[in-house]
Amino acid sequence: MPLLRRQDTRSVGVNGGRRRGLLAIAFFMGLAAALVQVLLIREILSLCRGNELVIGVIFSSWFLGIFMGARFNPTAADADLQRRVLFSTALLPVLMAVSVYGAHAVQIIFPRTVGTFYSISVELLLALFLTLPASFFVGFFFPPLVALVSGEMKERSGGTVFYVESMGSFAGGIAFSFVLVEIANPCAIACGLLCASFVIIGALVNKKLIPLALVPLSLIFFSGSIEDQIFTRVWNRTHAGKLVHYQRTKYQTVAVESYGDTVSVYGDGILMYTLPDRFEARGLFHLINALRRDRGTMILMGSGPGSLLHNLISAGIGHIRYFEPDPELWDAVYPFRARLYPGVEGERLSVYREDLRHFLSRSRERFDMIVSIPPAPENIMLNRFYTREFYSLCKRHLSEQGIFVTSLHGYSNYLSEDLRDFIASIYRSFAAEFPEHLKTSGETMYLIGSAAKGALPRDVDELINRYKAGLPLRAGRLEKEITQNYSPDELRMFFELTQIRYFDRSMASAVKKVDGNRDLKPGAYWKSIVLTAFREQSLLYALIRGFLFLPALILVVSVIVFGDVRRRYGPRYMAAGTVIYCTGLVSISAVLVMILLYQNSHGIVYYRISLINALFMLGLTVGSLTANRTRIRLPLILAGLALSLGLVLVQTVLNIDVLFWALIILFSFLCGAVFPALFAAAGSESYMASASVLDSMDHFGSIAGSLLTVMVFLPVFGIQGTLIVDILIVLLAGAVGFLKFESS
Amino acid sequence: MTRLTDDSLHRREFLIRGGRSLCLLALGSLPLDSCSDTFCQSHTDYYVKPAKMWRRLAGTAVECTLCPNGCQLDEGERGICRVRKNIRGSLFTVIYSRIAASHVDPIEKKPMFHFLPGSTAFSVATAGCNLSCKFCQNWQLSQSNPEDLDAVQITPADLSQKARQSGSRVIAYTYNEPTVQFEYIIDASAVARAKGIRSIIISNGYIRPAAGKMLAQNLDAVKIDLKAFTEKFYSDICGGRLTAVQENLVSIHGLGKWIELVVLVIPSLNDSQAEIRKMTAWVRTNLSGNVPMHFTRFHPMYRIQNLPPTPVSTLERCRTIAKDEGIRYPYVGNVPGHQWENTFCHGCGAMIIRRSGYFHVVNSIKNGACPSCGVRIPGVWA
Repeated sequence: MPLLRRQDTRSVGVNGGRRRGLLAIAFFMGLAAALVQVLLIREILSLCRGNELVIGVIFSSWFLGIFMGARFNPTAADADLQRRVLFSTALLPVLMAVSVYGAHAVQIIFPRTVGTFYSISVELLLALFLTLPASFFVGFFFPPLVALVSGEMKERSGGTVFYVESMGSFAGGIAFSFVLVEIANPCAIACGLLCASFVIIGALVNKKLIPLALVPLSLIFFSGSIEDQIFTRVWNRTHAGKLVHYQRTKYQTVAVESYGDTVSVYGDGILMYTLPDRFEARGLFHLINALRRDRGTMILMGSGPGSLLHNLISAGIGHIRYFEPDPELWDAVYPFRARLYPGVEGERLSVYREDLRHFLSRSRERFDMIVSIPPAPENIMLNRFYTREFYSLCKRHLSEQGIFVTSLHGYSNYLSEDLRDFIASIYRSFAAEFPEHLKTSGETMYLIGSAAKGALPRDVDELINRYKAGLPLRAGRLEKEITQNYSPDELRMFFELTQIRYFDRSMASAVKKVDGNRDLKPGAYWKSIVLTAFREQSLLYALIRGFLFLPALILVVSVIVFGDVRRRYGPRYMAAGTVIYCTGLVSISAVLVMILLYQNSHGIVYYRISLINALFMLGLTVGSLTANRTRIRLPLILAGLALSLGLVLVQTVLNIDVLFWALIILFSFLCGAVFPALFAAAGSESYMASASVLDSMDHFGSIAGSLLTVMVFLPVFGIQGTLIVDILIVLLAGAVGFLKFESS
Repeated sequence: MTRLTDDSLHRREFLIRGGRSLCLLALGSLPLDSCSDTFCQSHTDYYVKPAKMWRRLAGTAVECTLCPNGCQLDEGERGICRVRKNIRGSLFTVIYSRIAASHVDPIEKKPMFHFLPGSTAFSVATAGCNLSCKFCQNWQLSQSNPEDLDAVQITPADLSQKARQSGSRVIAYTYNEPTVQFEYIIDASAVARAKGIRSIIISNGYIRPAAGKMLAQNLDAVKIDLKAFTEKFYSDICGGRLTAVQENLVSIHGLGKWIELVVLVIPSLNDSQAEIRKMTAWVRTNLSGNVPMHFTRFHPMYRIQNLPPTPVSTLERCRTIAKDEGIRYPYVGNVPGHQWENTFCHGCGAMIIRRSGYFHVVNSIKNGACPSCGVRIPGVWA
């Protein structure tokens, strides 16, 4: 079907005021899109056990929606084009609310057994379908808006709309990262956007529509109770207990559930711990007491603020530093904890509301014991507590006879290949830093290491003897569940002989064929996903196991799409499409890598995703603006892009904060410059054709980039390897750009 | 319509061929079902043996009559349990003597509290299960195909020898569902009995009564997971039927075998007071008040990862209900150190076995009786 031609757009005859109104829509859509994206990420992560795989799929879905919206936008009369733009403007906030709360309602529409997750394949599909509606309209408005504005702006119009939209996205990212994340829930944000859209549409079309904005405006004041109602009803219908507290922190959504006489704490929908946990704490408490020294100093992370902490304080520990990176989580749980464990805080306990790795990397203190009980490494943030770098950091902060204890997902009687590989990657990293170590058996394993020879008992008998000869525990000060009926023989439950021999036999060969878990090659994270997929017998497991499937599929689809572009628009557009496809692929791949690097360095990343996106958008905006004005040569831009990726590679080693943020801007500046440069080079036939081809191929490349990065590049090549692949792709794009647009 | 040029024809042909090749390449990289005859042929000497408990249907189809699933299998197909296969019109087990896991466990870990307390059990497992419980602790074994697991061959004679070498008085068929090893257990338990070694199974009890009777011939005790007391739970969470387990329980109890029951109490799924009362009343009426019942604590496991552990107070309430209903030996389980993991005489209430975890057991029972009041304590003590 033919697209709108240049002469058609000239006849639109837009005036200055109208053009400003249309550009206001571009800005609004950029801003709304940034907010929708980050909110969708948060809500879908709550539904889908947040990991980078899901983030990758959300990004893919996002770009797929934009691609479809931009691609399937048939030509029409001006009035129709305007209607499409206005319709998209009003609909986007509504779709945002529907998708965001739909992510929670899904659990009612498609019930699952209480306590289970959807299979990981279903989660990825849900992420896809929940993201598509909003992203479709983010793409849908673009070509018609370009067409409407182009009469006045001529060939620069695509670039102008692009950078105005990017500026909106930048504003949205900054607004969310620094303001909205603290004060507004999605309902309020949707209402605010709807209100703004009514004002813009009213100003552009008919001022009588503006009073309609009062309706969503008034809803903002009720957004808290609306969301409260939705959350409570959905939770109580889909969980075992009753929701007694929920709070959106800037890191996660915290939910506290009551069941019987217990309260359970969930972060982003995932069970973190249950209070009271006296019997759970009993074994580990005595194990720690068998290992520790009197009046020593201790770091405790990840155990939850329950019985272990309470009883260690009461058992003569010199001083405990308890780490909880989300300060609002601690505040949310504190009232329940204070009721269950009254009066234990004091000089012996310091609660550190920061990331443990962050603390250790800047501290010079040494500790007698470091106990790290992190959740399973289902995402990069958690994986960094299982890497060799973390173990090394802990070792450096141990006192002379200091002991490090950490936990990991263990096994029940048998180690399947996937579980064996998963454990082996962590165990290898641990053993490399702590050649002197003990390990326990069971579904939760403890790895116990020391830098000093002789600091650890040789076997369980010596451990029991140490326990008996060691610190006297004053039962009266401890909870009775911890001490009643206790015999040091209970320690043998940690060291079941045949289980440990079996583990040693299994690991002897496994650690040789599996890479250790590293910050820059997070093998355990990926193996954890594989293990989850295996456990759920999900389709994804087959896809992962046959990992050529995805690259082959993407290649086939890409070839078809490129063929279609060539058939419809000719070889010049295909070349332009190739360059922008590669740029899109690399840009999202690098953004994902940057997110991972940030997580490795700082821990929880969620509220910073929007900042990363915002800076990315700023770079895109300035880049596109600059390219629009100065006509930088395309090969130079791509060479710069390759160089900036090389600098990101350097940053993976140097890990300098300022460089990190500067590189995001530099890298995105160059990405942003590609679009207008190509638009100018390829867009002489039809503005709408150029906008449609370039925008859609850009997003199509981004879809491929998101999927390939999270499912192939990172697992196979690691972070640095992914960057090298990205550099090669940029060089390929540079070669195409040079041959097609420079040599002629 | 645009006319296609030679050039575009070539391109299209190239795209089609390339696409086909890539699809084949991609599909070829997917792990396909490894359940092929090649597997069975290459393992004939070791693990593939003619199965018992099946009947022929029309043509080459067969029906397995081992468990209530009653799988009807065409040639080449396997049952729900993954380990019984129709090969050329006859049913075979593909796991005979195929042992994927073996450990020496305290008998209390099973848990068996009234069967040779303080002893160890040489515990063995293979692949497969006829149910698919979403909370399975040993899902890596039970929900796997046998050829996907590392295994060694342990013949019935070898098994008794290994048990003896490990210092165990008992062989426990455990971890995965043992009844799927029907043929092997029948042979191995006969050899063990001849050598003075006891045999027990830790089972879901999902077996047809006729098969159950045959299996139990040389067994000394049976621990059965009574997973809930509603058909809904059994069908939704486990893929089975409660009534079939009930029938089998009555049947095995009728044989005079020592039985202990374990109820894994899962928050909101099977922990209602009414359900526990109904269950314990049924046990009292249809089995005996002397059958020990272990109300054990759920921890997040397998597919049910996002549910908090069972409140200890819930387990204590279950124990109280069971006591009220006439169960003499109700226990609280998976809570090391809890006072109701100990055994108290039903006659005088004295503590007769003290437990602290499953490695510290102090048994005061003398000649099967309470040392305080002399009443006989139900169980197998020597």
